[in-house]
Amino acid sequence: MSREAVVVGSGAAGSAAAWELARRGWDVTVLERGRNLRPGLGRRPSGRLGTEYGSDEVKGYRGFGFPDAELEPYTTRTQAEASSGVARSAQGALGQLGAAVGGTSLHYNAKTPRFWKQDFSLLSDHGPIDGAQVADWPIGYDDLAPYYDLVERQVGVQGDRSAMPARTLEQSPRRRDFPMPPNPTGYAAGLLAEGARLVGMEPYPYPAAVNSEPRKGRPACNSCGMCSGFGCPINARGDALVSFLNPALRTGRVRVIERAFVDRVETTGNGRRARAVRYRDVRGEVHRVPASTVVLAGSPINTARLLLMSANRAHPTGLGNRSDQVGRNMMFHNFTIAAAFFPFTVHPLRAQSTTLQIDDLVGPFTGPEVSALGVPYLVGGIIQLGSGGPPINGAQLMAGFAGYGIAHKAAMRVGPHAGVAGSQLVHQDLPQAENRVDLDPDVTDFLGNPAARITYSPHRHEQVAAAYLGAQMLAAHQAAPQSIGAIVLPFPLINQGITYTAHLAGTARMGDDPRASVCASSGRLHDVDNVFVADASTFPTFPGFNPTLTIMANSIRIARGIADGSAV
Amino acid sequence: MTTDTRSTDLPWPDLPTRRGLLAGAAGAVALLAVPGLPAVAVPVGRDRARYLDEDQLATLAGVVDRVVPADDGAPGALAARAHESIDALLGAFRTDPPRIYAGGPFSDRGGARRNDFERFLPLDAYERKAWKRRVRRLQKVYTRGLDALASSVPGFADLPGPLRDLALRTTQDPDVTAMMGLAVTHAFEGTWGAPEYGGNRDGVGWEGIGFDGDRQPRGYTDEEVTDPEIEMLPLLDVTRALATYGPAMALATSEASMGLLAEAEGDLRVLSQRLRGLLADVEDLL
Repeated sequence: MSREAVVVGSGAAGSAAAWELARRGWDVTVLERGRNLRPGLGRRPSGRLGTEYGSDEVKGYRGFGFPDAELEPYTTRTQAEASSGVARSAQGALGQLGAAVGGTSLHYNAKTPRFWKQDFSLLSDHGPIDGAQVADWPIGYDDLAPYYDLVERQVGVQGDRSAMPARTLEQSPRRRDFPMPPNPTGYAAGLLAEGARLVGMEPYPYPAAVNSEPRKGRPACNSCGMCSGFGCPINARGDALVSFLNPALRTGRVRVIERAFVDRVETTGNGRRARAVRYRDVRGEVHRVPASTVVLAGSPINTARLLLMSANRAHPTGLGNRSDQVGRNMMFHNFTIAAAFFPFTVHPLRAQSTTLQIDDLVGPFTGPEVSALGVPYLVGGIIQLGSGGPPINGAQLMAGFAGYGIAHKAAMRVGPHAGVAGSQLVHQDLPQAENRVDLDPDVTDFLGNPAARITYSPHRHEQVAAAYLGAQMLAAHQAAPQSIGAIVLPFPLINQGITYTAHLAGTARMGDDPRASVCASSGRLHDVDNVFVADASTFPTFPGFNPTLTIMANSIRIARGIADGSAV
Repeated sequence: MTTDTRSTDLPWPDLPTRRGLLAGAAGAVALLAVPGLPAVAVPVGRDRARYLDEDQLATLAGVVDRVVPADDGAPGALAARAHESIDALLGAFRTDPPRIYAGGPFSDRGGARRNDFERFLPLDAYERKAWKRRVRRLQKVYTRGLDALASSVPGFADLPGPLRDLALRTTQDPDVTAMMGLAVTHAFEGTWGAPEYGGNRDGVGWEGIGFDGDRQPRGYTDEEVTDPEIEMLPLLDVTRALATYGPAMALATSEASMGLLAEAEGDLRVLSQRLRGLLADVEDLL
């Protein structure tokens, strides 16, 4: 077998796979539809890379480092709209999915909790839920644990094992402490933590891929708070580019092609092997990269879109889609949001964002009060504690909700950067067959390729979880000392459609049964010998934890299987 | 994202009563004598590209002044020169590099010796293609909207604030409402965005709401994080904000908000319809 691979996508999964393959001597071509925003990439060590990012909110709203809806629109609709024949109800930008060398990890919040043991066996442990395709993972926590250790060292994770609750350590055991101690706890997060403790919860420092001390040539975080959605101006964040892609490039065995819009994986006539990956450049010219191994890492929506666009005579409904599962089980993390309001400044943006985590609402929860809500059990997720919002963000939301003018301006003075402290419950989202990515029949991108169309509605499970767990979040926020009020937004309950988050999974689930899954536990497509999926598309379920650590760990696991030939 | 926006009206929390409006109008007439308040005599920065003509710019100044009005607490969008930042966006391609993305990583406000934000980034072919399309569309929306406003409300730019409010709130002109959908967002950007984009002059926008602005590379000390100086906020403002804007303020603390904003692509009508659908029933739910 030739030791070379083509990796599609340079985000968390693609960069990690390229790094693992390169350090095992493989030659790798990485195709990325975005451009490079880090001057010096490949030429300088990661600690000396420049950045074109800044603490600049306007740049964010102008889509810096994102696909542009003018050229690459997505379309969406709800399940109800789909069943009544609505082709799409919205078209445009999808929000938080970046397109740049390094992917969305350039501006991720860098929170890196591990999944729990129980997450890999939900079906066996608790059984099916009507209307959902609950499944076990074909791997377990122990299969990922060594890769969790590896990724935590490579990206540089801060945390404090001694402060972690007993159940967290039992469910996600770790052999050693974190590479770095935690950042100082934000004042706002501290106030919310006091409230949470009063209602019996156990807050602790949130593991994060952010330097709390100088490490590997990169500086310590200085708590500016412009994290999620912002590129780190001082290079303190352990993103996929500084941790994996740049070191991989510096082996000399890896190249990245920017602005490569991949639209087809070409196969042999019988469809058993991929031969090349085809892309267009921004002018529309067609290029082909011959491939003996293909690794798909474009994130769930775009990996599914590429598999579907790669349909040919041997794969009439899309590459590797004999199971009819490609594009299905699209999962988003819904967030139930709570906030406490204070009559004084609590500086929620003055901290490495959401410095504390709570695991008390992970579940699963069972019993008569749950079954009375119409589900046999419910699974929640972690709470990220102590967030705020920069001013243009707050200004738009407030004006959109209740208008602008004098009252709006007065509210801005006490607003989400000043007297408000927020939290988010990261909801487990159940896989559903009808939550899916397919090819829009009418809308195309600027190159004429069909847009990804996303059909999505939350399952009753998510709605019930939001109501059941949202009440507990509200209680914790009401108990925050000196708060004068609290609000909870049980998002999946009030939002019938897609939640525009950066947390996505599903669309090419891995499993042992080729009739019910798209790829094997090795990431290999059941139907094509040399095409692997390495991103969160492979996740059979979507536990309520920030996914990037697991995406990187799983991608390295898959890449190692490719490199040592053990992938089946 | 573009969605069905048949409802073109925006919500108004502080719509004055008829009595209040008349009193406000009388007060504002007196204020007309204050230099700089009427939006006509606007000095134009020499260092930015221009797109709108003088009349259009004056009308736009009269608009942004009502989006973020000056009040006892602080100057508003007019003093921040938000209208000039919008004009700079409309004329973005008249300079090279185009004034779309400020540079990075630091301005000189957080301890850096040099201001990288001032050097706008060159666009690649993809960004240039997308932004040329977008700027052309924005140019049309603004020129049509401003011209329609000026012709349907003669002397708009010179009217007292409350009368401009009334004109903007009651207009049925689709060109004006289309413009307002974007102008509100752009006025916010021009008030609370980085000054390099042409607004937030001397940081007046940030100062007015107690926002620190960009803080890198200095950031915050551990003590500033864990034990910051606490300032009391006006209790009445806090309770009013909670009552009027509470759900939106809660939403603004979450990453989920960024997706909603991207979906609306700056059009407040789209965002408004979506938010009212989402948040209307929140208090009844739990």
